[in-house]
Amino acid sequence: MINRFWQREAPRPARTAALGFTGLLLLSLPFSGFAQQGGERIEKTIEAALAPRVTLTNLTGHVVVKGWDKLQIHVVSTTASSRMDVEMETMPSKGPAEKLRLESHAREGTLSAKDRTTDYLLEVPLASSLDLHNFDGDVQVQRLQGDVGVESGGAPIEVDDVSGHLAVRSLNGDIRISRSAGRVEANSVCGNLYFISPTGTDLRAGTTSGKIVFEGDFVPAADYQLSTWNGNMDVFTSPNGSFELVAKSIKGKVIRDPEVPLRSKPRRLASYPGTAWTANAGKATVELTSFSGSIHINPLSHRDNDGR
Amino acid sequence: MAEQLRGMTVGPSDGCQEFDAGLAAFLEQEGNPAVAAHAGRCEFCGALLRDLQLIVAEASRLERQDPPARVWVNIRAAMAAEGLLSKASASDACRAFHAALSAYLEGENTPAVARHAEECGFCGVVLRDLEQMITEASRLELSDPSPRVWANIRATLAAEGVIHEQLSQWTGWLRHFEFLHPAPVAAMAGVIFLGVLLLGGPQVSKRAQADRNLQPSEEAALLQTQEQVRLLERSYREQEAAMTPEVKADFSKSLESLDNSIQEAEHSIEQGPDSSLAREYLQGAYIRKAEVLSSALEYAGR
Repeated sequence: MINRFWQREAPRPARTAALGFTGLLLLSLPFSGFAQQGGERIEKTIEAALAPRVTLTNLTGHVVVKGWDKLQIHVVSTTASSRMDVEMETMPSKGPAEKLRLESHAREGTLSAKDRTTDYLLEVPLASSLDLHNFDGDVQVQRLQGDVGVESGGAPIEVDDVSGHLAVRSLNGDIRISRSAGRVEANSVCGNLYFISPTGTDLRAGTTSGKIVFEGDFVPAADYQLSTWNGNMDVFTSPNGSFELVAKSIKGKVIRDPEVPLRSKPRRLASYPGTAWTANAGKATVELTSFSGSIHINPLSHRDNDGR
Repeated sequence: MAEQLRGMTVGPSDGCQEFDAGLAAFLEQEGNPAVAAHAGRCEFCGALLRDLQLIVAEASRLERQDPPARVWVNIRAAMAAEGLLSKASASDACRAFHAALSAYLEGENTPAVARHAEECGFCGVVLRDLEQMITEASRLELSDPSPRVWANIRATLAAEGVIHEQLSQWTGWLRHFEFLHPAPVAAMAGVIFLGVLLLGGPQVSKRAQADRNLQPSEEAALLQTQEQVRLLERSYREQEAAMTPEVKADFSKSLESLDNSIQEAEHSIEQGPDSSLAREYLQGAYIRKAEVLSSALEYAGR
């Protein structure tokens, strides 16, 4: 599947690892009644452990994963063609599921994009961790406390209210992450990256030709590293924030709105342009880097007013 | 006065003069055994050295910060009173100059700074001094420690249990093959990839050879990555016909973007070979391209 090779530190909850290799072999029995389905809607509810690990691999289609308060996993899959199969596997095979694996398969390699489509709606326990690969089609993940990994090709990814480690990658699709509370890694080649009110202490993001928009306060002691190649970067932050900021672009400009009260600070001189500032006590660390894109630092109020 | 005190005790000597001459360097930790030796023989110089060392030690514990603004005001007032500063130099224009000085030195467009520096002798000297410092500083080499240093640090940290060694990026990449579904093309790419890693791969790249300013280790890494990308790209071109048009379009768009980035970085390095950031970007673009090509090959093998 796309991006399985891509480097990221895939979140691996200790609970899953504790199952052990032998246990996995014994428990890896296909979930009866779910294989060999196609061109129709399938719905199933499974009893789940407190923090199950859910893995979903899909070719094309819309995928929505929501956390809920029940210790159950509710799966709805809809295939567009009878030549698509949905394979489902739970571990252990009896009792509350600690692992759930869902995978879409095309029986023929010549299926059109439309025929390869499988849509998923998953509702999972709040503490679930998720590993999701969907090449083409929107992905939405909402309200999860576990670690989340999402990889996609050309379609947008939207993640809201995830508090675990979040690793998101796309080829061309935009990535929008709202109110994340854990560590965030987001990367794309051509997609735009949006971060809205993150509260975690580690955020690293990069895109080649997309732009990056950051909107929110910088959390004290947190570390932010944002990088673009030729896309612009817009940071909207509170004038009351406390952070050290280094912004550098080889060919682009670094533009600071005077409403953001930053003090210039001595910086290490280097062979590329760079600017270092401090806001208030400088508690957070922010590094903005671009090759030829421009970097804009704006007050949060401008974001509201402009509606960008 | 020191001479007088010396005369009251054992009397000044040539050794005392030599002690005086070497004292500053000794206190700067530059090493001067004659100073220490004389301090041991001469009661006065010994006491003086101990006092100074105590002052240095105490001073080192003080928080390093700028003096309060009133100190600068007093200094400026004293200098003005002694005629060292013209009255005009303490004007609002000077304060505006100092407020905008950092931005000016950062390259921002603040023509008032240069204009004031021409009008005010004191500020002009300050600006020229700072510009000279910047010029000199820019000539200093900014280079990371050698890979061996990092390797030793990492090994030490790992031995002490401070960190746990992780697989390298590419080794980690290959590790994923354990979990692949049958994908002969991707596996073949992996074998090629591994071969390149183990054997080092061909060492020739005209574009990279032109980049003479790379450190040897950086150049080797870049050459290796370029070769990996070339092999992967060849496999990809052979397999892309099997992709659906939508998938092919997605990968093509990404690869085109990365190719543009690579060209841009190479051009930038040609224009300014000292740009370490451009080199970082170039290496990063190649690695990203290798990742995308690998993903494409795996996808094609499904």
